[in-house]
Amino acid sequence: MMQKQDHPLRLTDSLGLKFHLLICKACPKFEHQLQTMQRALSDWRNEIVK
Amino acid sequence: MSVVADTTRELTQALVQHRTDLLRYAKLQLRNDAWAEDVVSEVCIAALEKPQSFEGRSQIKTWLIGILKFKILDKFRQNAREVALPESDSESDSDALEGLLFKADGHFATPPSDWGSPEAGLNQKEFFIVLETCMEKLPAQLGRLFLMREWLELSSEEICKELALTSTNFYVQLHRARLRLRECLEINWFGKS
Repeated sequence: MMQKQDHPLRLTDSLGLKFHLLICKACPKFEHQLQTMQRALSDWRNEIVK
Repeated sequence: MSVVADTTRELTQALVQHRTDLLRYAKLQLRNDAWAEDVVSEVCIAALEKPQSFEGRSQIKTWLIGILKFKILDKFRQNAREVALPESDSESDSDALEGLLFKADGHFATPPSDWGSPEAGLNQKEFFIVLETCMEKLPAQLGRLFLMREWLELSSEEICKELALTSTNFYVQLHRARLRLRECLEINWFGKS
Protein backbone atom coordinates (compact mmCIF):
# COMPACT_ATOMS: atom_id res chain seq x y z
CA MET A 1 0.00 0.00 0.00
CA MET A 2 2.85 2.34 0.79
CA GLN A 3 4.56 1.59 -2.52
CA LYS A 4 1.32 2.26 -4.37
CA GLN A 5 1.50 5.87 -3.19
CA ASP A 6 4.75 6.39 -5.04
CA HIS A 7 4.61 4.28 -8.19
CA PRO A 8 2.25 1.87 -9.97
CA LEU A 9 2.51 -1.71 -8.66
CA ARG A 10 3.34 -4.73 -10.78
CA LEU A 11 0.21 -6.57 -11.83
CA THR A 12 0.78 -9.54 -9.48
CA ASP A 13 1.29 -7.20 -6.51
CA SER A 14 -1.67 -5.06 -7.51
CA LEU A 15 -4.02 -8.04 -7.75
CA GLY A 16 -2.67 -9.52 -4.52
CA LEU A 17 -3.30 -6.24 -2.74
CA LYS A 18 -6.81 -5.81 -4.16
CA PHE A 19 -7.73 -9.32 -3.04
CA HIS A 20 -6.30 -8.81 0.42
CA LEU A 21 -8.21 -5.54 0.83
CA LEU A 22 -11.46 -7.39 0.10
CA ILE A 23 -10.99 -9.82 2.95
CA CYS A 24 -9.06 -7.82 5.54
CA LYS A 25 -10.82 -5.48 7.97
CA ALA A 26 -7.80 -3.49 9.09
CA CYS A 27 -6.05 -2.75 5.83
CA PRO A 28 -8.74 -0.69 4.09
CA LYS A 29 -8.69 1.57 7.14
CA PHE A 30 -4.92 1.81 6.89
CA GLU A 31 -5.15 2.63 3.19
CA HIS A 32 -7.72 5.33 4.00
CA GLN A 33 -5.36 6.73 6.62
CA LEU A 34 -2.50 6.87 4.12
CA GLN A 35 -4.74 8.60 1.58
CA THR A 36 -5.94 11.07 4.22
CA MET A 37 -2.33 11.82 5.09
CA GLN A 38 -1.45 12.42 1.43
CA ARG A 39 -4.40 14.77 0.99
CA ALA A 40 -3.52 16.58 4.21
CA LEU A 41 0.07 17.07 3.04
CA SER A 42 -1.11 18.38 -0.32
CA ASP A 43 -3.48 20.82 1.42
CA TRP A 44 -0.68 21.92 3.73
CA ARG A 45 1.71 22.45 0.83
CA ASN A 46 -0.82 24.69 -0.92
CA GLU A 47 -1.91 26.51 2.21
CA ILE A 48 1.50 27.61 3.50
CA VAL A 49 2.24 29.69 0.40
CA LYS A 50 -0.78 31.94 1.04
CA MET B 1 8.27 57.84 -6.02
CA SER B 2 9.81 55.33 -8.33
CA VAL B 3 8.14 52.01 -8.95
CA VAL B 4 11.28 50.21 -7.80
CA ALA B 5 11.32 52.07 -4.47
CA ASP B 6 7.65 51.21 -3.88
CA THR B 7 8.26 47.55 -4.71
CA THR B 8 11.33 47.45 -2.48
CA ARG B 9 9.37 48.85 0.44
CA GLU B 10 6.56 46.40 -0.18
CA LEU B 11 9.06 43.56 -0.39
CA THR B 12 10.84 44.59 2.79
CA GLN B 13 7.54 44.64 4.65
CA ALA B 14 6.68 41.23 3.25
CA LEU B 15 10.05 39.81 4.30
CA VAL B 16 9.58 41.06 7.84
CA GLN B 17 6.05 39.67 7.91
CA HIS B 18 6.93 36.24 6.54
CA ARG B 19 10.36 35.73 8.06
CA THR B 20 9.10 33.55 10.92
CA ASP B 21 7.31 31.21 8.56
CA LEU B 22 10.22 31.07 6.11
CA LEU B 23 12.56 30.16 8.96
CA ARG B 24 10.20 27.52 10.28
CA TYR B 25 9.93 25.75 6.91
CA ALA B 26 13.68 26.04 6.33
CA LYS B 27 14.34 24.40 9.72
CA LEU B 28 11.78 21.70 9.03
CA GLN B 29 13.46 20.77 5.75
CA LEU B 30 17.14 21.31 6.57
CA ARG B 31 17.07 20.10 10.22
CA ASN B 32 19.97 22.43 10.94
CA ASP B 33 19.27 25.81 12.54
CA ALA B 34 22.42 27.51 11.28
CA TRP B 35 21.75 26.43 7.70
CA ALA B 36 18.15 27.57 8.01
CA GLU B 37 19.22 31.05 9.16
CA ASP B 38 21.71 31.24 6.27
CA VAL B 39 19.10 30.25 3.74
CA VAL B 40 16.51 32.76 4.95
CA SER B 41 19.14 35.52 4.77
CA GLU B 42 19.91 34.44 1.21
CA VAL B 43 16.23 34.63 0.33
CA CYS B 44 16.05 38.19 1.65
CA ILE B 45 19.12 39.21 -0.32
CA ALA B 46 17.90 37.53 -3.51
CA ALA B 47 14.46 39.10 -3.23
CA LEU B 48 15.78 42.60 -2.58
CA GLU B 49 18.43 42.36 -5.28
CA LYS B 50 15.83 41.78 -7.95
CA PRO B 51 12.58 43.38 -6.82
CA GLN B 52 11.50 43.71 -10.42
CA SER B 53 11.36 39.95 -10.83
CA PHE B 54 8.42 39.95 -8.41
CA GLU B 55 6.30 42.35 -10.44
CA GLY B 56 3.05 40.98 -11.77
CA ARG B 57 2.88 38.04 -9.41
CA SER B 58 -0.15 37.70 -7.24
CA GLN B 59 1.31 36.47 -3.96
CA ILE B 60 4.57 37.66 -2.45
CA LYS B 61 4.71 34.73 -0.05
CA THR B 62 4.35 32.21 -2.87
CA TRP B 63 7.25 33.86 -4.66
CA LEU B 64 9.43 33.96 -1.53
CA ILE B 65 8.77 30.30 -0.79
CA GLY B 66 9.76 29.49 -4.36
CA ILE B 67 13.11 31.20 -3.80
CA LEU B 68 13.41 29.48 -0.42
CA LYS B 69 13.09 26.03 -1.98
CA PHE B 70 15.89 26.78 -4.46
CA LYS B 71 18.17 28.12 -1.75
CA ILE B 72 17.48 25.06 0.41
CA LEU B 73 18.51 22.74 -2.42
CA ASP B 74 21.70 24.77 -2.88
CA LYS B 75 22.40 24.40 0.83
CA PHE B 76 22.01 20.63 0.67
CA ARG B 77 24.42 20.48 -2.25
CA GLN B 78 27.00 22.70 -0.52
CA ASN B 79 26.91 20.36 2.46
CA ALA B 80 26.51 17.09 0.61
CA ARG B 81 28.95 15.14 2.77
CA GLU B 82 27.27 16.07 6.01
CA VAL B 83 23.79 15.49 4.62
CA ALA B 84 24.61 12.00 3.40
CA LEU B 85 25.86 10.76 6.79
CA PRO B 86 23.55 8.05 8.12
CA GLU B 87 22.18 8.35 11.65
CA SER B 88 23.75 5.66 13.78
CA ASP B 89 20.77 4.91 16.00
CA SER B 90 17.93 5.36 13.50
CA GLU B 91 18.01 1.69 12.47
CA SER B 92 17.39 0.27 15.95
CA ASP B 93 14.73 2.92 16.67
CA SER B 94 12.88 2.00 13.52
CA ASP B 95 13.03 -1.71 14.21
CA ALA B 96 11.64 -1.05 17.70
CA LEU B 97 8.82 1.04 16.24
CA GLU B 98 7.92 -1.59 13.69
CA GLY B 99 8.01 -4.24 16.43
CA LEU B 100 5.35 -2.28 18.31
CA LEU B 101 3.15 -1.60 15.30
CA PHE B 102 3.20 -4.96 13.56
CA LYS B 103 2.93 -8.60 14.53
CA ALA B 104 5.38 -11.26 13.33
CA ASP B 105 3.17 -12.13 10.35
CA GLY B 106 3.40 -8.53 9.17
CA HIS B 107 -0.10 -7.53 10.13
CA PHE B 108 -1.20 -4.77 12.50
CA ALA B 109 -0.72 -5.21 16.22
CA THR B 110 -3.43 -2.61 16.90
CA PRO B 111 -6.10 -2.25 14.19
CA PRO B 112 -6.11 1.17 12.49
CA SER B 113 -9.00 3.37 13.58
CA ASP B 114 -11.43 5.38 11.42
CA TRP B 115 -9.92 8.73 10.61
CA GLY B 116 -12.64 10.52 8.70
CA SER B 117 -11.23 13.74 7.28
CA PRO B 118 -9.18 16.45 9.02
CA GLU B 119 -11.36 19.27 7.72
CA ALA B 120 -14.55 17.69 9.01
CA GLY B 121 -15.83 20.20 11.55
CA LEU B 122 -12.30 20.88 12.84
CA ASN B 123 -10.06 23.92 12.63
CA GLN B 124 -7.78 23.22 9.69
CA LYS B 125 -5.19 25.70 10.94
CA GLU B 126 -4.89 23.76 14.21
CA PHE B 127 -4.54 20.55 12.25
CA PHE B 128 -1.66 22.01 10.24
CA ILE B 129 0.12 22.97 13.46
CA VAL B 130 -0.16 19.37 14.65
CA LEU B 131 0.97 18.10 11.24
CA GLU B 132 4.04 20.35 11.29
CA THR B 133 4.87 19.33 14.85
CA CYS B 134 4.63 15.66 13.90
CA MET B 135 7.00 16.27 10.99
CA GLU B 136 9.41 18.11 13.31
CA LYS B 137 9.43 15.05 15.56
CA LEU B 138 10.68 12.76 12.80
CA PRO B 139 14.37 11.87 13.25
CA ALA B 140 16.50 14.34 11.26
CA GLN B 141 17.42 12.14 8.31
CA LEU B 142 13.88 10.77 7.93
CA GLY B 143 12.50 14.28 8.22
CA ARG B 144 14.75 15.61 5.46
CA LEU B 145 13.85 12.78 3.15
CA PHE B 146 10.14 13.04 3.87
CA LEU B 147 10.01 16.82 3.31
CA MET B 148 12.09 16.53 0.14
CA ARG B 149 9.38 14.24 -1.14
CA GLU B 150 6.29 15.95 0.24
CA TRP B 151 7.30 19.62 0.25
CA LEU B 152 10.12 20.12 -2.28
CA GLU B 153 8.36 17.40 -4.35
CA LEU B 154 11.62 15.98 -5.65
CA SER B 155 11.62 12.68 -7.51
CA SER B 156 12.99 9.55 -5.83
CA GLU B 157 16.03 9.71 -8.15
CA GLU B 158 16.78 13.30 -7.14
CA ILE B 159 16.44 12.50 -3.43
CA CYS B 160 18.65 9.42 -3.73
CA LYS B 161 21.29 11.59 -5.37
CA GLU B 162 21.11 14.34 -2.72
CA LEU B 163 21.15 11.94 0.24
CA ALA B 164 23.40 9.28 -1.31
CA LEU B 165 20.79 6.54 -0.93
CA THR B 166 19.96 3.48 -2.97
CA SER B 167 16.43 3.29 -4.32
CA THR B 168 15.57 0.44 -1.94
CA ASN B 169 16.92 2.34 1.06
CA PHE B 170 14.95 5.41 -0.02
CA TYR B 171 11.64 3.53 -0.04
CA VAL B 172 12.40 1.85 3.29
CA GLN B 173 13.10 5.26 4.87
CA LEU B 174 10.02 6.87 3.29
CA HIS B 175 7.92 3.97 4.55
CA ARG B 176 9.28 4.47 8.07
CA ALA B 177 8.66 8.22 7.94
CA ARG B 178 5.04 7.61 6.91
CA LEU B 179 4.52 5.05 9.66
CA ARG B 180 5.83 7.46 12.27
CA LEU B 181 3.78 10.33 10.92
CA ARG B 182 0.67 8.18 10.90
CA GLU B 183 1.30 7.16 14.50
CA CYS B 184 1.85 10.76 15.57
CA LEU B 185 -1.31 11.99 13.85
CA GLU B 186 -3.31 9.12 15.31
CA ILE B 187 -2.18 10.01 18.84
CA ASN B 188 -2.34 13.78 18.54
CA TRP B 189 -5.30 14.41 16.26
CA PHE B 190 -7.44 11.61 14.84
CA GLY B 191 -7.43 9.39 17.89
CA LYS B 192 -8.80 12.13 20.14
CA SER B 193 -12.58 12.27 20.52
